[in-house]
Amino acid sequence: MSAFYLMIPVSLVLAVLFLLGFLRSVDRGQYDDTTSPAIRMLDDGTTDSSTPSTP
Amino acid sequence: MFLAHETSSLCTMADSRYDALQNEDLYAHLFKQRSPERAMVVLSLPSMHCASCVRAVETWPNLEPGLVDVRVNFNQKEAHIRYNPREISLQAIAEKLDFMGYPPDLSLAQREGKLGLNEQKRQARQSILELGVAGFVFGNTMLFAFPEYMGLETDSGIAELMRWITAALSLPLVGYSGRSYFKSALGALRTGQANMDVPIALGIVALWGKSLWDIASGQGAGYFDSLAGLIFFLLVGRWFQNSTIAKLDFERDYKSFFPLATLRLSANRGPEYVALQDVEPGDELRIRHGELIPMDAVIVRGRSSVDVQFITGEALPLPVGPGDDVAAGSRLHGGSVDVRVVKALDQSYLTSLWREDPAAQKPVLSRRMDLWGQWFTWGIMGVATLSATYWMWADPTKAIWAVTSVLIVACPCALALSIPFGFGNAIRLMGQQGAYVKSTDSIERLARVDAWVMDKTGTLTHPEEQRWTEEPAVAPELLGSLRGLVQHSAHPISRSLHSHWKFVQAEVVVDVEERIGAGLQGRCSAGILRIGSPAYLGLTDAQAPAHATGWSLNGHLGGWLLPEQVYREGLSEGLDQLGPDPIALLTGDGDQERSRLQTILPASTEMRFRQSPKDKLNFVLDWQRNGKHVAMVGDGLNDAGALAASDVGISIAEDAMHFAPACDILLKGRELPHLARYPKMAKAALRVVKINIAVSLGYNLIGLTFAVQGLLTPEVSALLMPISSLSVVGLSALLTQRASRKIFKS
Repeated sequence: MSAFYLMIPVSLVLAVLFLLGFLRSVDRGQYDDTTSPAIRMLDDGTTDSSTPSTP
Repeated sequence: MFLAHETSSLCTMADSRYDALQNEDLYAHLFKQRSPERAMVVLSLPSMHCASCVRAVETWPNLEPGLVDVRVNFNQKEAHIRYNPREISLQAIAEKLDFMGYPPDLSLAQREGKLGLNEQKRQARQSILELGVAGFVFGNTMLFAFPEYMGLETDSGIAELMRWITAALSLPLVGYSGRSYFKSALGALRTGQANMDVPIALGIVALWGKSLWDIASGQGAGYFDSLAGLIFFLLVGRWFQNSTIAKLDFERDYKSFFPLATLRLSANRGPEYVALQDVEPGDELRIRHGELIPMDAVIVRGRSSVDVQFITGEALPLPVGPGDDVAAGSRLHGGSVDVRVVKALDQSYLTSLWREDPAAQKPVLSRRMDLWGQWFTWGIMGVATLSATYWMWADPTKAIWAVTSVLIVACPCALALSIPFGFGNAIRLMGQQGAYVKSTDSIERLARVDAWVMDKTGTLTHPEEQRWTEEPAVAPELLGSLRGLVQHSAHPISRSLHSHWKFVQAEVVVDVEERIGAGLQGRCSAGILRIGSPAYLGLTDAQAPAHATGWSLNGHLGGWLLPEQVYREGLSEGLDQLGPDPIALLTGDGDQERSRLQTILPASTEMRFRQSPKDKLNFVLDWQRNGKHVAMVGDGLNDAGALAASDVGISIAEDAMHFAPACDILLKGRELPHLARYPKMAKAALRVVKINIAVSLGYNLIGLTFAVQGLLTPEVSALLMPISSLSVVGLSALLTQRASRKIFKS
């Protein structure tokens, strides 16, 4: 049971680390644009034929 | 640099508007990185509007040497472009983007607007952080509450420790994630009102306070897990609501956009109508009486006056002449002017001016909703207080559940959401058909319309398709001058004559004066040319053939022009559909067409001829005094006053730039025979809104009966909130879609 007295703070620290990671990812702009990644995901490496070449 | 030069010399399409980019230091604020081999620039591309735009722009580096990669932020409409400055220049990048259809917005306003955008970004990030923290606390609180759930070890030191940890976790929860509710509630209470967030804030405070008390006094474990769940689900609901509204707004602003064109003068091709988006700085446009000036410009030729009513509400016309600047959105009164465009503006600027109308009074339902929202909130707090007192007396353990559930479950969401979603959807669906509605207020007013007033020329008749007979035939040397003269007027007769003579090369006519509704005068090589009504030419109606327009040279009658009115197809069946509503036709013309009109219009139509703009206005006011809700359909040229006075002003928008800004709806000419469908759709939308309110009230009553009995926990109540928002959104979408299919596909 006394193991709890160690485990609880450790798990809290771990959880807080994840929270900090989340905070950092928001700060770095990961959540600024949630629409384009969904579109970008569909890119299969081929070039869109509708893109006109140089005028 | 050599490559860039070469490609830009191939662009003979006068793309000089990006020349300023040659001085890259001026645009240093666009660069995020700048070295001889690698540069990264952020360009605003407001024209991106769909997934394939993103793809087109992002796969562009595969075709373009010199580009390293392009990353698009669709929400901000920005592209982050990395390129090699040795292989391609900033100017070339801008020119090519323009060529692809995504002209970058490099204006000063955009630069200054960046600050506004950052504020938006900051707020969006705040919301996500609040949601994230709430989720974090929710999960961890439940983990630490696990022993309580299992009923284990409730008295040991460990259990005690865990309880205090859950209490500690609640601090960032309430202090950070929950603070927007407190801010909003306090803000409302300060003005003596109660908004939706007041009961929520109270519920949070009550639950939190009770939980802390329970732990401190050793009575129990508190309810921190419920509190965390509550705030988490509330924030999820809010996020969902905001993103749906943003999508609706986007649909409205970028997709329902009505066709606007303007008359551009070009040296070799003569005047031609071009779409607004094809106009560039340096182009010369001809603006005629009654038309809006589409972009910031400077007057090159002609004297007239402009009013800025559309922009600032000021109706006083100011005289302008060559060299004067005129702002986009100002309206021309008097003779036509030729202007040179200084700054090309996106059409969305005019659209937003139209929508931002310093509004008239809000119509009935919207005002009622605001009121009901207030009563609802105070009522809920009353119910909460009552249940609190009851339970404190009957069974104190249930009190906290009852109070918080009552405060949370009662959601006047439908009151706030039904109108934007119900009417907003209707606006979108009507836009797809060809009727562009200004705002949700317009839909409500349209639903209540029970009387119709129509203009004839330009509305019932097809302005471009009139056939004219010249009596006698106009001498060939004068045709050019006549065409050159009518070019200066936007009156339907002038436009119609202009297209009648479309194979004639228009000649330059100067000193043009237009007498509204009467005629046009100008000086050509042969002398003073006049064209207009018999009265304008100094003759009586008896001396003129029926319904003719005449022309004279140097005071001598030259001949008559006899029109054959072409009415839009399908009018009679269409207008019959307007049903029992009374219809009136008001026209400035004489009654020569009466018998023909009688075959087209419903039998009960009241017809009035020789109406001046004032007569039309008085007619509308008269009907309104008799309790009718009047919709007026006109082209805004000489019925602007009546259009503005009516409950719903419907302006027929063909391609010309003289739609009446005061109107509520812009209707495509071809849709006029289907006019009756639109009030049907508006009525259907009103029904949908009422259904939503009824459903929401029902749900609230059911929820409340459970809540006052203490049978609901706060998390369940909180879960019901996003569900009720969802149901409003879903029901609105479903029902309006179904109504639209039934009404418009028939």
